[in-house]
Amino acid sequence: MLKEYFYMTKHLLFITLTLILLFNCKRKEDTSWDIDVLSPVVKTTLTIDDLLEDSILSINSDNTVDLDYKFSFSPINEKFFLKIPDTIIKTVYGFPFLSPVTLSPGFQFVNDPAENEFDLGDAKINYMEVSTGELNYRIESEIAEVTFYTYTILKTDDGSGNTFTQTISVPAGSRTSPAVVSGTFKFDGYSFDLTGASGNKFNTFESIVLVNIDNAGNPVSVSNLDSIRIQNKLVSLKPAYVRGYLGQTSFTDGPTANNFTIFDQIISGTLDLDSVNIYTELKNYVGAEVQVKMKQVISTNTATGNNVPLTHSSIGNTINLNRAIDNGNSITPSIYKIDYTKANSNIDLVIENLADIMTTHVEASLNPLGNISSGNDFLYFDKVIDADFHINLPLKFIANDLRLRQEIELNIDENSNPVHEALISIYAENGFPFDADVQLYLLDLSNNIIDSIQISGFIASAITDIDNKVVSPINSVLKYAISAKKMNIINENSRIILDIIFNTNSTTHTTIYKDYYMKLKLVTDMNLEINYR
Amino acid sequence: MIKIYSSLLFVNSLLFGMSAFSQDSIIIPGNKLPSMRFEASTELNYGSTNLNNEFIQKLLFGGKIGTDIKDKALNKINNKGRFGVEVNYDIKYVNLKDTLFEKLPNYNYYIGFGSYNNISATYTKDLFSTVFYGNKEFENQSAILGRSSFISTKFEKITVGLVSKDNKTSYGVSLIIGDRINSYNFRKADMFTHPEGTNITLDYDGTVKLSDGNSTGSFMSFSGAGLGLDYSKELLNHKIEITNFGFTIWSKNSRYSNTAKQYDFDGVEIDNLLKVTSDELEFNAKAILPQLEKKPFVTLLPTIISFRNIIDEKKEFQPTYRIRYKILSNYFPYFNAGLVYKVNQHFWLKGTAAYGGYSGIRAELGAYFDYKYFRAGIESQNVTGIFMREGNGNGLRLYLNTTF
Repeated sequence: MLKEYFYMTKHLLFITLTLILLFNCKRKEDTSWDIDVLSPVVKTTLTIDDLLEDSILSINSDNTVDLDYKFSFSPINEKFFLKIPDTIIKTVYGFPFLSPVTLSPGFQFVNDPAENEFDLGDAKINYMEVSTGELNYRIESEIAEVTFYTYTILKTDDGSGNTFTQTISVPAGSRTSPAVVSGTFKFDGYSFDLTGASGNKFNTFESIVLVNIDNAGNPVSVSNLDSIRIQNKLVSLKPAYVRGYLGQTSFTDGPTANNFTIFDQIISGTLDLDSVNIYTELKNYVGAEVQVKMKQVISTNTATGNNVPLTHSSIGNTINLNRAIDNGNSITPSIYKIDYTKANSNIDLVIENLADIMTTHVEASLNPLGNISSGNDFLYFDKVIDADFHINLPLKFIANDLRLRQEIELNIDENSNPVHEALISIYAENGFPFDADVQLYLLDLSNNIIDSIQISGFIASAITDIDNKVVSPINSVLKYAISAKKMNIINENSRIILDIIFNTNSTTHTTIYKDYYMKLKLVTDMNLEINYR
Repeated sequence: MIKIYSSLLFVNSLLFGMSAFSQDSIIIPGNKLPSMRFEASTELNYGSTNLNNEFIQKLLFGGKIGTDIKDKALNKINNKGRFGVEVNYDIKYVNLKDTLFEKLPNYNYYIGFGSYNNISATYTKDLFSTVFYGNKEFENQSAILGRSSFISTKFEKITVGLVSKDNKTSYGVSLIIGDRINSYNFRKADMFTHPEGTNITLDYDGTVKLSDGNSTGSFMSFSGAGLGLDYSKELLNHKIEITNFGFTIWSKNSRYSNTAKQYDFDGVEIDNLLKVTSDELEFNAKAILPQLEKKPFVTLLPTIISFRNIIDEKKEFQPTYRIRYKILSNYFPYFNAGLVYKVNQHFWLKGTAAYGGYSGIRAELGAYFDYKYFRAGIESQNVTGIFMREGNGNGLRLYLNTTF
C-alpha cells in the first residue's frame, strides 16, 4: 500500500524520470536519489457500516443498531437418505433348435418383457425422478448376421412424454469369435414409475428386450449352439425426488466444527452484552416425520482456547418434526422454533465467548412411527432439514480491551520506491463513545511477529451526555516513527499487523447509533529513495 | 549504442575535441561530377543549463544522484533550468543525373529517411527542488512549479525532394510517422504544503498531450501521422535551412487535457480502511489528477531553422558563424562563431565558441576530411563538457558523404 502513498509525488517525478526512456540500451544500474515527502496519503470515514457487514446490520427507528446474524447449517442432508444401489441384469438368449434353422431378414427372435427390482431395504418407492444416472450395456452375439438390439424401460418419461428406449446395431459374430458391443446411455432427467406391470408393486421397473435380424441382411442359420448374451447395468443413479414410503432410518451428524465468522476479527478482550435475542429454527422439508436430538452445541474461541457448551432444555432431548407439505411447485416445511434467553440458557456466555467455531452434534431418525402415510412420503433431495441459528444483538455493550486484528498487505515489491524512514501521523476525529488504541506489529517471512512500532497517543472517546450518548466528536493525533531498521523489515516482508483495541467509556452498557463515525487521515513525513530502472 | 557513442566521444576528444550540433555546420568542400550521392549523418547531443555532466550521466545511464551534485545543480538555476536530449539520424540518396520533372531540368531529385528523437524540459528552481529534494522544505509555503514544460517526442520521416544541380536550393516533402509525444505544459502550478503536511493545495493551469499509451513508442510505431516540408537556400555566401516544418495528427488512443483548476489534496479517499485494496487506492488517486480526454490533437513539428555563412574552401583561415533555433523543444536560440583552418587539400579544422540550445557558453571543435569520392566530418559541440567535471553537456555528430 505504501507504493500508492507516493502516487502524487511520483506524478511530478515522472516528468523527469521519463527522460531516461530515450535510451533503450540496458543500464548498468538504476538511477536513484533521495527525497523528503511531507504529504497526506489517505483519508477515510469509518461508520458502523464499515465495521460490520451491511447484511447483518439492522437499523431501528430510534437509529440504534442491531446486529442480525443468521448462522445456517444442514445437519441432516440427502446423504443420509435413500441410496439406489447399482443394479445388474444379465440375460442369455439361445435357440431351441437341435438342427440348424434359417432365420429370414427382419425376423424378431427375442421378445422378452421383464420386471426388475431395486434393493431399497424397507423403503417402498413407487415413483422416482432421476437427477443423474446411466445404463451400461454389453452385448455378445454369435449370430452370423447383423442384429438389432432394442432395450426399453416401460413407464418412464423424459419430461416430454418419451419412454426410455434405445436400439443398438450389433455386427455379425460367430461361436468362436462373438461380436461384442458395449456403451452407455444416460438416464438424466427421466422419471420412473416403480409400480411394475401390475401397478401394485414398488421399487420395481418394467423393461423389454427385443432382438431382430437386420432387415437388409441375409438369411442366417442358427441352432441350439448359438446364443446372444446381454448385460445391462444401472449405475450411479441419483434421485432428485422420490415418492412412496421412505423407510425407517437413523443417522448421526457430528460432532462437526462449523465456521462462525461474526467475531473472527476479534482476538482478545471481553464484550459484555446488554441483551441477546437468539433462536434456532429447525426446518423439515421431508415428507415424513423426523425426530431430531441436538446432542451438543459448543462455542469455541480458538484464540483463547475457551469452550462454552450451550445449556438449554433442547440439548439432549428429542424434538419431533412434523412432515412437510408438497404443494406441487413448492414445499411448506414444518418449523420447530427454539428460543434461547439469558433466563432459560447460558446463551449470553456462548456469544460473549467470541467464538470463531461452533461445533454441532445431531442425531435424527426418519419415520419413527413407521409407514403412517400409507406410502405417501416424499423427499426432494436438494432440500432436507435445515437449522437456522438466528442472533439478534442490540449494539449495546461494554467493551473491555476488545482487540480487533487485521493483517495488511502493503504490496511492496522490487518496483516500489523504498522508504528509508518515516514519521506517520494519524489525525482522528472520533464520534464513537469509545477509546481506541492502535498498535502495529512487524512480521517476518514466516508471518511471525518480530517487532512492533511504538505509537504515541490514542484515539480518545467522543464527549457523551449523561445517557452516554455522543454530543460532540474529539480530535486526536497519533504519531509513530518508523526507523530505518524497522522500515527494512517492512520493505522485505511487505506485511504488517494492525491491532485496534476498543474500550467503551462507561461502566454501563453503551448504545451504538447509526450516525456515529470516525474520520481518519494519514499523513506521512518520510525519506524515500526514488528508484528508476 | 551508448557504448559506441561513448567510445567515439572519447577517441575523438583526444584527436579533435568534440561535441556536435548539426549537419549544417559540416563543410562540404568542392563538387565532383558524380551520378549519385549518398549522405548519412547521426547526432547524439545532450545538455543542460544547470545539470553538470555527472548529474546528467547518472540521470540517463544510472547511478545514485547524491546531495552534493543536486546542490550544485540547484545553485546554478537562476530564473529557469533547461535540459534537453536529441538523438537524430538521416540518410539521403541524391540522383545527380535524373530529374523528376521535365520542366525543371536544373533539379535532381532525392529520397531521404530520418529519425528524430527529442526530450526536453524547462523548469523552475522550485520544480527542480520538489522533484529532487521533495516537498518537505516547502512546508507552510508555496512552491512555484509553473511556467515549466516537458516534451518528449519521436518521429520518423520519409522524404522526396528536389535539389538544384548547383546544390544551392532544395525542397523536400515528407510523410511524418509519429511514434510518441508526451507533452506537459504547466502554465501555472503553485503548490502549497500546509503545516504538518495535512493538506497540499495546487493552483494549476496546464495542458497535457499524450500519444497512444499502449504503444511502446518504438521505431515506426505509427501513433500519429503528418506532413513535413524541408527547404534550403544559398544566397550571398549564406545558407538558410528550414527542416521539419509541418504537423502531426495524433489520433490513435491519444489523450488530451487543458485544465485550470484549484486542487486541494488531503489524502486519497478510501471507502473502508479495513477493506481497502491497492486497486481502489490507485483508482482514487488517479481520479485526483487532471482528467484526460480521449481525443485527437495536432502538434507542430519541432521545426529547425538555421542560418550560417558558407565556407570558402580556398582560404586557409576564415570566420564561421551560425544561428539555430528549434521550435517547441524548450530550445534556447543557439549561435556560434569561430574560425576554420584549412590544414591541407584534404583536411580542415574548425573551432568555435557557442551559446544556447540546451547548454550555456562552451567551446566546439570540428574536423573534416575530403578525398576523392569520400567526405566525412566529426564535430563536437561541447569540448568543455568533455574535459571539465563541471561541464554541462556533451554531443557528437558524424557525417559521411560518398559519391559515385
